[in-house]
Amino acid sequence: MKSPKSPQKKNAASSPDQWVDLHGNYLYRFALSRLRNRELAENAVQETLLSALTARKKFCGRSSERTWLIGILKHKIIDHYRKKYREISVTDLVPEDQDAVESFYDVAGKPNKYPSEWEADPRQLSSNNEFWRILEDCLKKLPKATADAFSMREMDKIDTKEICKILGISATNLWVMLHRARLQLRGCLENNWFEKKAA
Amino acid sequence: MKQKNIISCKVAAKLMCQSFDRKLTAREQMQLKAHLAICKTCVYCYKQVRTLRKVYSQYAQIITQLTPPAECCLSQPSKQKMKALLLEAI
Repeated sequence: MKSPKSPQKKNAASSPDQWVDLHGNYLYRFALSRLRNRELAENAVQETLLSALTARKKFCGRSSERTWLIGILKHKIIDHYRKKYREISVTDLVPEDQDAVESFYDVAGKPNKYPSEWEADPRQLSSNNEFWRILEDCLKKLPKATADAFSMREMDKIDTKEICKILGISATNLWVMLHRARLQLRGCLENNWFEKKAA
Repeated sequence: MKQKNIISCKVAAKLMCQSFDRKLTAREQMQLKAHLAICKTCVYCYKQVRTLRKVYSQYAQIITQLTPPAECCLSQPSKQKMKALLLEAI
């Protein structure tokens, strides 16, 4: 008979010299999807593993070892953003230039091009490597801070107040950045993925 | 008075995007709702932005399950370097 209060099974910890083989690629892909730069992603993974080594006595096996490492990596990525944006002024983060979004509309605020109906299953799209290459290219066309804000918000679901603190900007500035990011990415995907697939 | 509640597609797009990050005022909600009721273009745009958000958040969950292209893996020299650093620090 099962004991109602049986202790939770603990996840085993592997030896640190196995971490690179066991988790290296996983951590790297996680970091690369956020930082969009191979060198930065590699550095983040390296720092994560070294920090984990120092803190490995604190790992008590309640989550898997990989989840624990991802938790450390998330902090490293946020630290990277904090350092990166500490010295940058708000005007550089939120450029006045709105051409990319303005070009979608005429002077009366009507769209210059009518959007199509996307017939896509989000789950299928998100597992399509080719689609991701296109989206990554679209993200690269955004100002870096805008792409980072979008990634923090939509990928990691970070609260807007927290993103404002990380970037050192006001809520109003962040709303503008995210609004532009969504519209630009929507337009870019429409032109470079959905219309080409429909053709 | 009624005229003030009519918004352009450009303003509607801004409000629909910002509704994901902040609570719109009662007036903004009314303006957006009224606009979407008569503008198919903005309804499509709204659906597209929602799809974009869904795809992006699902990607975060499945990225590590995908068969990665070679450029999304650590290179052998990087792996060796990390292993050496770990061994040195143990």
